[in-house]
Amino acid sequence: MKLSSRVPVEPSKRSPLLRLERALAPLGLGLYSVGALYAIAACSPELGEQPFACDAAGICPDGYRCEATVCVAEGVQPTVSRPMRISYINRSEMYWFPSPKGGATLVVNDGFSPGARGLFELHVSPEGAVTGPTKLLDFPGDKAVSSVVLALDDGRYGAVTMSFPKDLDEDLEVLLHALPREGSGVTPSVLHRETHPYFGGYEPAYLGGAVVGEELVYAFAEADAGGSIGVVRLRKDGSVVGEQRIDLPPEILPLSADCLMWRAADASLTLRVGLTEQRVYTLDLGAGTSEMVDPAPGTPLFGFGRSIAYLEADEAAEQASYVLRGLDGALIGSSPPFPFDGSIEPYTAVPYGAGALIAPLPSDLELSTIDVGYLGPDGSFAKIGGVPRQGGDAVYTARAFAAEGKVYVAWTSFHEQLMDLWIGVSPLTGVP
Amino acid sequence: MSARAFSPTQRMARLALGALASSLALSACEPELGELPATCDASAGAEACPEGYECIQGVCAAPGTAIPATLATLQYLRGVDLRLVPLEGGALAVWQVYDYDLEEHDFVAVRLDASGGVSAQLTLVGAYPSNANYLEPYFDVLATGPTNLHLSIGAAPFDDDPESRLDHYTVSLPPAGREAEGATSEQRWSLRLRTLGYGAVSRPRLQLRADGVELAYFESLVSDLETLGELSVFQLDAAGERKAAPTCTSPECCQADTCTPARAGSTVAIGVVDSFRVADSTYWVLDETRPSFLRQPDEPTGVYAEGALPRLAVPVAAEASALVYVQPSARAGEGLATDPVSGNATLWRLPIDAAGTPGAAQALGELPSMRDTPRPVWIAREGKPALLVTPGTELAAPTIRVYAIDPGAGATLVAEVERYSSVPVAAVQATLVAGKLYLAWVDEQTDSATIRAAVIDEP
Repeated sequence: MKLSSRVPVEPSKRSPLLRLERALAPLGLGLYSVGALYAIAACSPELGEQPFACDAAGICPDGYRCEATVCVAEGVQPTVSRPMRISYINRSEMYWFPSPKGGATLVVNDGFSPGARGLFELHVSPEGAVTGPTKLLDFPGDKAVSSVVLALDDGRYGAVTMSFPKDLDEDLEVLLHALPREGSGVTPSVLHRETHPYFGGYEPAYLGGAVVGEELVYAFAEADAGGSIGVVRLRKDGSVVGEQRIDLPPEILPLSADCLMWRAADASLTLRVGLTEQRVYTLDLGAGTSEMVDPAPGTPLFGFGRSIAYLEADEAAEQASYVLRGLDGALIGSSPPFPFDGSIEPYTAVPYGAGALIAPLPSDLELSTIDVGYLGPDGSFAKIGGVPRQGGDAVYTARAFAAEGKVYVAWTSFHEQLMDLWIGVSPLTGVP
Repeated sequence: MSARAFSPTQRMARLALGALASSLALSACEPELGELPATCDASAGAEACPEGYECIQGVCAAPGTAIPATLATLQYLRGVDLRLVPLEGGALAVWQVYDYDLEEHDFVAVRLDASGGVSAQLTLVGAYPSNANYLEPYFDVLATGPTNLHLSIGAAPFDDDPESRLDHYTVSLPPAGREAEGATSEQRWSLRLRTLGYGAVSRPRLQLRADGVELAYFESLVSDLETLGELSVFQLDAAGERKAAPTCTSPECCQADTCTPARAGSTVAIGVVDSFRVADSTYWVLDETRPSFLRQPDEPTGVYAEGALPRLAVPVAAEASALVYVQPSARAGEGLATDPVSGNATLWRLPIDAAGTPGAAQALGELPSMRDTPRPVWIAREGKPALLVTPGTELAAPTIRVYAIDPGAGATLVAEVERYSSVPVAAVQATLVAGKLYLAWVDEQTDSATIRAAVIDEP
């Protein structure tokens, strides 16, 4: 990488030819080529604020720092960063948390990059500075591991993982890991382990989970005997409080029974199960029962306990809205329609206050900005933030978070055979 | 000589001037450029490389050096998505290109000729619909003539229907040397098949028969009480069409010519990974990690045989009443595919009695140490010892090794192909055509996968 001559250069970083020129000078020697080099060195190329990627070791020219894989000029803070280029991050595997240090942290599961699989943590300052990724948990081997990451407390993540057996083992394994949160110094440990019959496949179905008071609740699919969902309640030390089982309806195939669990502001839990075909259940943990919600049009994105938010496209699939319906399907409220082509993959909304955040909120099909919407439990809807997007790669999914006047949004986009993780920060405005 | 000491700056200048003088007098010295001094452009002819070197596969190297060809540099490639198909006068390397953003994947190929030359890239089947939320399709390819291929694709759903897909194509290649004309393909038929759901997509397997082509796919089934698997076999004519009309035309039932329950009590969301044809039946090998086999007779009245094989065993040959397999070296560490291995590999023969029941496996001998991943390649030869191709024990082995295997006399290292790479090998493929051994492999890094190939004389 060329070094900028716009700023003083440490002697150790000067080029050999510059050193040669300086060495020749006391001897009164001059060479045309050296003179030409001197002329080059004397110019002041404008490298811009974010001119190039950092090298593999994270080194940038003087006057720049390596931030999220890009050399950024000192004094400049981009609000959008691309901190990871990986093989693939599943759309469920992006989890935001408030940071005890201020700002927010994002945990993602890189399940597919050869030799680099694992859970990674990134810290994002309110100004948009991204630190990381830091590997929290390694997934050795060549198989993806599904996970749901929750906050046990300020110092620990609780990560539930489901992994296929190692090639020489027999059973599928579900573990609850306690992992250090933002360098808290907590020693990683396994708090709970269970095994289940393995029927093959490519990667484990997604897990759902939530923290309710002093309990951690998670849900996962089992393929045995026609398929079912297990809902497990653990104390934060990993001891078991209870379990319940939901038989899968015939339209939900066991290896496609991805789980997603929503905890609403009133601590009610709602479970979504399925991949293309999905069903929603309200959970009563105390009674150990569940009730399937009558299917409604669209993709369920959040459960408020007595209502469900959906992504609903029109018949021509050219426009869509985020809508809120009661458990009986009655319409409560809706976002304005937005351009839609079937490729928008919010996957899930995330709780914020009494409502939920949804991203992306498309203003155009190219998703030139990644906007974030807020859907209230009364059906109110507002755009509350957004960040401009660089480049035109196809967006896969996005996940938003808000705290202390800022909206944080992470999204993934396809870059040829790889995937990029992007993070942006914008002011939080307009929450109803 | 002056006794005056030079300052450090002056000493540096002298050294620098010395270096400059050396470079100015370059033509008068004999610089040591090493074995592989630079990349080159073969179209530059004799000017491409310094004197004494030839431009071989894009690298200046000593004449005669076997430099692997680079067939493609991708960002990601599963090892299973590289195939090497014997063709008249050469081989065809086939792989899949994942266009996630378009949700359309391509199946592409290049021809390798006997001199190691690489053709322009051909698209065999392009823009195959592939939902980015699902796993990538699997494929198998079989040559049925000098320019004719069958290509089958097993894939997850693209639409809202849950069933997995099985699509069968025939492909016509342009004559060798006229690759610019492109390949043409025709989809012969398409089915939706039973599945347990996401990831329960079988690798399809094509097997040539004297009277046509067989295609096997492993379906997984779920009922209220059970989770099961069936091997579905389709009988095709040379044109890729099904020989007989199916008795069932719904994904609720068996749409193949035969559906045979298999792998009770084991994994069923698996694929068909290999096959062997014997006199009146076909052996289908199911799954690589927890392998089993199913021997299917041509006639319904014949005797079926099914049996489990040891974990990670690699079936390599079949007789009418026996299956021969390699047991690679034992994995150490945590037993992961990337962990070290130790001890010799071994060769085994599994006898099958007249009722189709496997007996006790018999050890045929020891083999050199080798990994199970990448999977070793076995090439049977008429009247000669079989060849076994493997990088050996190291994931980033510097060479691909070729052994001649004589069960009576053991294994003899008969060739080694330098990789000129220190990154792990994700997959190895090999085939023998007209006295030449064609090899292709994948060099895998976190953010790249490079397909390389070499052609050597048959050992």
